[in-house]
Amino acid sequence: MRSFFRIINSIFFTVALIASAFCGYMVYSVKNYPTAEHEAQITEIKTLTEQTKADTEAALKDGEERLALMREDARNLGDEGVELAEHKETLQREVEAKRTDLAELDLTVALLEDMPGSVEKARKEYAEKIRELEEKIQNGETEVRICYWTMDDGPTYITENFLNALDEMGDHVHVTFFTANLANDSPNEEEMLRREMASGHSVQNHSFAHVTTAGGSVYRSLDSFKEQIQLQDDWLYEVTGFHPMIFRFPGGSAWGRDLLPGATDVIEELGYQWVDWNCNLYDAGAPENLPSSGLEITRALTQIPEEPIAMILGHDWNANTLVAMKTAIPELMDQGYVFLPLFPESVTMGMIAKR
Amino acid sequence: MSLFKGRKASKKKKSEIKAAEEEWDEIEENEESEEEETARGEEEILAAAETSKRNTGSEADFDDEDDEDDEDEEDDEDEEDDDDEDDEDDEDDEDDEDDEDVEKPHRKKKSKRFPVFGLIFMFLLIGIILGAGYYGMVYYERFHAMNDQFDAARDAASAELVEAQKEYALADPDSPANVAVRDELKDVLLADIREQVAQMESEKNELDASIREREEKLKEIEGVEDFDYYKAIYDEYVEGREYVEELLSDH
Repeated sequence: MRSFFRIINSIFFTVALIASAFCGYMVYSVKNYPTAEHEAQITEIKTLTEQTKADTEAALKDGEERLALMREDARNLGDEGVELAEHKETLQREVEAKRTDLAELDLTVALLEDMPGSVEKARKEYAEKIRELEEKIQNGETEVRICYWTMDDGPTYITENFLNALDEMGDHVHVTFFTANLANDSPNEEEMLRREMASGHSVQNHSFAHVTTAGGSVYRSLDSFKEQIQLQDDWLYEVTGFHPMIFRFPGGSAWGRDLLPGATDVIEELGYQWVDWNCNLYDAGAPENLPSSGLEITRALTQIPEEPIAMILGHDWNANTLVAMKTAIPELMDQGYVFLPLFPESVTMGMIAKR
Repeated sequence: MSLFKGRKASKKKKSEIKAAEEEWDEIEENEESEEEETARGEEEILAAAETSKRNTGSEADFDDEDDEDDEDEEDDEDEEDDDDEDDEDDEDDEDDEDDEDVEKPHRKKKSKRFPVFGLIFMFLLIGIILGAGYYGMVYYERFHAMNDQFDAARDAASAELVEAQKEYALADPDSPANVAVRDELKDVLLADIREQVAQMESEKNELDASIREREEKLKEIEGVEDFDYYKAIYDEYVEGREYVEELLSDH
């Protein structure tokens, strides 16, 4: 038995030693497991992965940018691309310039093919702007004042002098001529009418004969009145190429309407507007009543500043008026007046009270 | 220490011990027959018992002394064995054998006792084996689990890295595939620009023709009477409108 135990115990002892060694080794292995080292390896791999992903994103962005650059500019497509891009740019400039030229030419052609229509269109646009300014003046929204300087009974033998004087006063001094063919006889009436038009002045209707005495051609009857308007209209259209649109009663509307009730209906029937004045230079009438100098006429202009929209009645057959005008217009301009042509779109039509 | 003693004994000694043990067994048998004979008579038995009791007491004392001696001797032997493991003299061994031969009759009764110490030691060893084996296996499993865990994490990270590297290879703008794509796009774009240039040249030629046509028409119109007159009026109105617009804007 003793031997048996000796042998068995020897074996067991050996086994126990091995088992203890194994256990110790495994405990040691677990306790000293290189966790940090493994984790470091994994972290390193993950870091490398993240870096690779970042590199991938950068590469994708780089690739997209390269493609975008290629699409954006042909110069990024090599030598051929540079050549083509430069040729294309040159062509683009040339084509754009030619398109502009052609558009301007088309506009010019269209304008010139129907010059009266184009002029009328431009006149309407001009008149609408004047109307807008008048309304602002009436509403007190601007300090600008308008002076419509009108001259009746022309053209005359001194109308040219008036036109020369107006030309000297600047590009934006315009007046309105109420013309009457037979009122004054002059050798260059047609030339003056065309010059008035070409200078940007307004040329309107003051009847054909301007015979205003009782029983005269203008106010003899409504038919005669109508005929006088139409005759002057036809003559002006024949000479200037444009129909007038505003009528001024010879002697004023008060006299004309008194002599010929229903005259305004005739004017309306003919598609006209009518207008009087609110500032009279008293430069017409019997010779003994005419002002003896331009100074007297100028004095008459002192009444103008009371009117933000002044309608001056003058006559382009009176030389004193010419003298007075040369002085008065610059003075009035200094006072803030602008001299514009009168069109039927004006707020003054039929409303200006006669002074 | 006694276990190591047995392990360290030489073969010769083992054979001698075996022989002694056989002789010991014969002696035990003889003693049993003698005991049977002494049990036949009560008196003899009692006397023998008393005698035996006395003898046993004296023998026990003697045995105890012997045991102590034996143990001392064994200790001496152990010490000798331990001290001179390889250099042990045959003579010493013989002396020891002689001593054992002399002592064996005293061990007859002692050998009957169960080797508790050996049993306990065996169980102790078994416990150690089982315990160490169990914990060894536990830690072994734990070790491999940790290994597996890290291997799996590393494999996953590596797989992700490989995937990322594949994606990078696809995204790399300098890769042959992407270079090919750009070359293809370049061809398409160049063809497109060539077509645009051709169209522009065609348009330019058409514009030239149109401009010539308009210019000829203008010459015809400008030759018309009153052209300058109308143009002058038109220009005056346009300039006048612009002048009034300035007035409107200034005030």
